[in-house]
Amino acid sequence: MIAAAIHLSLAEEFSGRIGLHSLPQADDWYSRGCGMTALGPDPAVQNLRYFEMTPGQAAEFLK
Amino acid sequence: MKMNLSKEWLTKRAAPDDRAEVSAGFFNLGMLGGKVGAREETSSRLSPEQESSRLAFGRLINLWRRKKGFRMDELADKAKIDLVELIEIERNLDFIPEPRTVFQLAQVLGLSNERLLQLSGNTNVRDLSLGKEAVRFAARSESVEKLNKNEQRALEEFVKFLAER
Repeated sequence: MIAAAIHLSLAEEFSGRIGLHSLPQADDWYSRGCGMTALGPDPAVQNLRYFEMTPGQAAEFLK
Repeated sequence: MKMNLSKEWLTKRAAPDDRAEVSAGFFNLGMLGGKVGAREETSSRLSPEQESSRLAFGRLINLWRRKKGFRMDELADKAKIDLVELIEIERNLDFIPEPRTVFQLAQVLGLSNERLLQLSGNTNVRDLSLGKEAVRFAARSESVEKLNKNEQRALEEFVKFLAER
């Protein structure tokens, strides 16, 4: 699913950037497993942690 | 959109996923019942409406399974869900099944996944008519029949086993 999201981002000319709110049990997977950057809890979305993937991280993920 | 993912890449990516707890698929956060990450504490967080719906969900699965003549393990196999989870669904009112499990059961029963998610306590009650109908169903489906031979034998064997311990 992450790969699909990156490909869609590339197709939409966002260079592979993606962002998401993570459920608590998946935080570790998004940071370590996917190499995304945690930007802290988002009070607007039930304090779920917000993660972003940069173009560099996206390229690394697809390697 | 084209995705060219090699078999090697998929294998490499699948390996760390093996033991990871990843839960995606909550299509609408606003519909989440209770607080995120507190599933194990859901018993005290269910609203009365959710409790009624959850009761109806367990009854629905139980009666549908029996109508079709499936044993619990047969339905679990058919739906590709964990047997223990199916037992919990039918017997434990406090147990909130995973959304995936509800989806699998919805597929087998040929019913709306969205409505079953609501019935199962995964989402807040939005469809009030469904909530009312769930209460009615739960009340009407309460068995008043005596135990049949199989149930009686199972009960006797289990009581005997318990008495031996």
